[in-house]
Amino acid sequence: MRTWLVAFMVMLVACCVRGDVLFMTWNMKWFPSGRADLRSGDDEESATLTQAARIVAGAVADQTRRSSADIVMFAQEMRDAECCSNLVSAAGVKGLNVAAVSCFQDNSGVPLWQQVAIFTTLPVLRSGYAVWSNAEVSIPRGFAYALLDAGPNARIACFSIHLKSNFARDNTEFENQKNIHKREAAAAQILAVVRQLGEKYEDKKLQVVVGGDFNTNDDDLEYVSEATIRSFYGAHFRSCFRDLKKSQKITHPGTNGFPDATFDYILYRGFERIVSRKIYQGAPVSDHNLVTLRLR
Amino acid sequence: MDALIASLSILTVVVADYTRRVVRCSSKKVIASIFVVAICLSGVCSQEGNSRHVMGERVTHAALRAENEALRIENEALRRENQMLRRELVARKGGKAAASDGVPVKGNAVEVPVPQDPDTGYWISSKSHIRHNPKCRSYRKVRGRACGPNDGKPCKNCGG
Ligand SMILES: [Zn+2]
Repeated sequence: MRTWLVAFMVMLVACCVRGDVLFMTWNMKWFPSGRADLRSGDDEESATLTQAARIVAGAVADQTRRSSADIVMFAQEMRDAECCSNLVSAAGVKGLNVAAVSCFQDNSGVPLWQQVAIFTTLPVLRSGYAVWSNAEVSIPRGFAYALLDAGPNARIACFSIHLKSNFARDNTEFENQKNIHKREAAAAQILAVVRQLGEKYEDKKLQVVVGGDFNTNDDDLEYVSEATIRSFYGAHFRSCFRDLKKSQKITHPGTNGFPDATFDYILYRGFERIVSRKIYQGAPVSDHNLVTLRLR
Repeated sequence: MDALIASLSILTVVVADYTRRVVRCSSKKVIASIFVVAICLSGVCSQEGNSRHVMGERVTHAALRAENEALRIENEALRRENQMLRRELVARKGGKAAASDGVPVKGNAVEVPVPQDPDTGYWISSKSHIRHNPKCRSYRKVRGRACGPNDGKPCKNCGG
C-alpha cells in the first residue's frame, strides 16, 4: 500500500513539474544535396544525411546529458517532407517526429527545395504551413507552425521561418530596402498570428517560440534601421543570444570576404529562464551553424 | 559611497585621538576640523562618482541617462519612419509579381501530398526553363517538372 502511495506521489509530482524544452534551429543549406535546385548523387546525399544526423544527435546528447528535455527543432532549406523524415530517422533521437513541413511552390506550381520544418518529441495539437501574404510585394516562402501540448493547460506555439535573403539582383539601394521590407512584413505576419493565438488561448498558458534563419540581426550597422527582430522584442520576445558578445553568437561563419554574422535566432516568450545555450558547428553539411537553446 | 563616509568617520576619530595625545590640544577642536575636511572630501568623491568628463565638460550620470533615453526614443522614431518609407517605396516602385500569396494556412502539412510527375520523357528546369531528355545528367536532377517535347528551350548537351 505504501509503495503504491509513493509511486502515486512521484507520478503526481512528475505531472505537475514541467521539464525543460530544448529548442534547436538549423539552416541546412539545400539539404540533402547542398546545391541550389540540383540533386546530388545518391551516395553523396546519403553521406550528407549521415553527417547531419550525427550533428543533430550529438547536440541533443550534449544538451540532455545531465537531465532529459523535450525537443523542438526548426529546420530550413529542406528539399521536401521525405528528406525531413529521413533526417529524423537517421538522427535516432527517441520520440522525435516530424510535426510540420511546408510545401512552398514557385509561380509555376513546382515545389521549392527550400522548405521549412518542425520536428518535436512533444504531442502535436495542430500543425501546418502558410505562405507570406503581403499586398505590396511578393515574399518568398513562408512559415511552418506547430501547436504543441506541453502539459496540463500549457501550449507551445512554434514557428519555423526562413526570411528573405540580402541578395539583390542589381545591387541597388532600392533592392536592399525591398529585402528589408520583406523581412519586416514577414515578422508582422507572424506577430499577427501570435496575437490571434493569444486571444484564442487566453485561459491557457501559451508560450511562443520562433526559430530560423532571419537573414538579419540586431548588431550590424547595415540593419540598424530594420525592425524585423526588434518588432519581436516589442512584443515581449527575448533572444537566445541576449547579453552575448558578437563573437559568442556567430551562426554564419564568414567566407569569401564576408564577415562572421549572426543570422539564426530562436526568439521566445513565456518561459521562466534560459537553462543553457550553445552553437554547434554546422560544417561540412551547411554554411550555417546549429543553434540550441534550453528553456525552462 | 556610504561605506566611504563611514570609513572616513572612523578614521577621523582615530586620527583625532592620536593628535590630541601628541599635540595635547583640545580634542573637540581637532575632531571638528577633521570632520570638516572629511565632509568636504566625501562631497568631492561623491561628485566624482556620479559624473564624468565628456569632451572636457563635466557631465553627471543622470544627464547621460536622460540623453541616452532621448536617443533611444529618437532611434525608435527613425526606425518607424524608415519602415513606413520602405513600405511606400516598395508599393510605388516595386510592383507585385503574380505570386502564390494569399494562400490560406494549410493544416497538417506533413500529409500534403507532393505532386508526382508523369514520365513524359522530357524534363524542364523551373529556373532556366531548359528542357532535358533521359540521356541527360540533368534529367530529373534539376528542380523542375515533366513537360512536353516542345516546352522551353532545348538543352545544348542532350538536345532536349
Ligand atoms: Zn540536357
